[in-house]
Amino acid sequence: MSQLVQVLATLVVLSGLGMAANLRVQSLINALAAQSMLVGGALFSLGWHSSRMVAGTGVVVVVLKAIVVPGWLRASLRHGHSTGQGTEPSLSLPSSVIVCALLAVLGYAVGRPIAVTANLGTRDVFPAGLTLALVGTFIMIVRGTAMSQVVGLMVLGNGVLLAAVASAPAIALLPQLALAFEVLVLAVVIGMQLFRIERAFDQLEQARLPRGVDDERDA
Amino acid sequence: MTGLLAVAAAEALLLVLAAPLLGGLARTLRARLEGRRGPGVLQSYRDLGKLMRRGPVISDDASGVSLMAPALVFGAMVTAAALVPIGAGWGALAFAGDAVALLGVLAAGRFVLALAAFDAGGALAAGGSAREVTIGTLLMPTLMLALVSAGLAAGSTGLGPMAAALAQRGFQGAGEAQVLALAAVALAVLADTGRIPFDDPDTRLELAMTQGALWRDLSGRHLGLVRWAADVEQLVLLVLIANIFIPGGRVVVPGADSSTLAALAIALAIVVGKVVAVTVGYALVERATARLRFFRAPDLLGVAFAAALVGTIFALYGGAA
Repeated sequence: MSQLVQVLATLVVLSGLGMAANLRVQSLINALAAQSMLVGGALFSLGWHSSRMVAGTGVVVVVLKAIVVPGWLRASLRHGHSTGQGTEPSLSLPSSVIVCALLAVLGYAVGRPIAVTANLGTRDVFPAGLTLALVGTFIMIVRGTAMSQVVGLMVLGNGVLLAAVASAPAIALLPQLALAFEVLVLAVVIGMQLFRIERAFDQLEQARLPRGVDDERDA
Repeated sequence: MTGLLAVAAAEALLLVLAAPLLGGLARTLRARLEGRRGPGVLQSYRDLGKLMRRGPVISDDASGVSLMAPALVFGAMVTAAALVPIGAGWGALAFAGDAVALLGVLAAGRFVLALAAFDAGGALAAGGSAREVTIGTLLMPTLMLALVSAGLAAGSTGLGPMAAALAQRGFQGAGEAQVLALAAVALAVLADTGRIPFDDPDTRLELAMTQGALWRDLSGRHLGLVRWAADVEQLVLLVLIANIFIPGGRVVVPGADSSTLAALAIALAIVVGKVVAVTVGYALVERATARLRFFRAPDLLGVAFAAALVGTIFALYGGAA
């Protein structure tokens, strides 16, 4: 079973790398769904023998983040018109992939000694979660389109969840559910804001949004 | 030892002869998945026979390079077939070269073909050759790094020892490094064999072709040889994936008590099963994805390279922890 968890955790990291190389929002959402499926699977098989709570969290993650949130993101993609178009990020794709590879190395270099020292049982899930959190943060920073920033946030959430479950598997189901729901609510709120912004300005790209009064005075 | 060499040579010969069968299988699978009936599995042999009986048409501007290239490419691929371990623990030419030699031979074939495409002075073929070389320079480092990561686990650059180490570890040692290397190699081979996210073997749209444009000026038995060589290359790479990156195989190590013909047959059957499984997987990928713009292909190969790089770093530093 730990073998399966290890392979799943590695695939999760790989999906993070793949997301860094993808510009189309549609495929980012698909990748998010696949990644959440992997994260849920890893949590489920992690908790199968030891803890019902962890396994339950895995099921919740699959339902919420692999089915509900991506479906909702796709729906809002259909309603909006400029959100589906990917734009050049502030860092070129090859550089992004290299940075994410370095982040993966960093995540494992930092995370694995912690996992081994703290005797976390599974030594691979914690570094994978750490890596995923770093990659999610990175995606949020470099992508100009608001929708891909939401996806970055969800990736960050996946990473935090993995790392949290790996470091404290005894946490009750309730706080974990609260965490997951909080991220969900956050995504919905952001989505509403995006919808309003887009209706007001016809686009969601930060660089092209009208400048504020203060900016114009500076310029 | 001579017995082993004979077995390995027979295996390499079998690989070369069976390669068009795999190409045919890939084409038939693809057609079936697209809802067409498609050509039969043996159609590649019939095509090959037809092409081999015909003389080539060669441009007046072509030099000796065009005349020699098809034979050189085919020779390179046969050499590659003799380098990989198939069912026996060693390729027939394993004494002469390791993983680096294999990649070198594959790169040599690519180089000769690209050169021949320029030779006759056709613009389309030259364009195809530029694309082929672009993809080649991107995927070769990936393959190299993935093989390095497998080599680190085996403690040798030899393909035979890598396969033996993997067969011995089985599923127990399947760590991050191995998963990443497998993913990287799977993507790189997808690009190398001209499959859909990178190149569309069925397209008639000239601007979208890579392999098709590269072979544009070839005809008759020259085209037959080059096509056969492409099939051999594909099968060599799939056997490489099966024996060195997918766990759960078996390799007959010479000198051990188990080196009997029955053991060899089992090992061969496992390899064939894995190769067919990977082919089916590729057909599904081809069905599910759309062809990338050529300028987006480096991004996908970049992911493969990054995965191979991280995998190699893990294999270097992560194995013991």
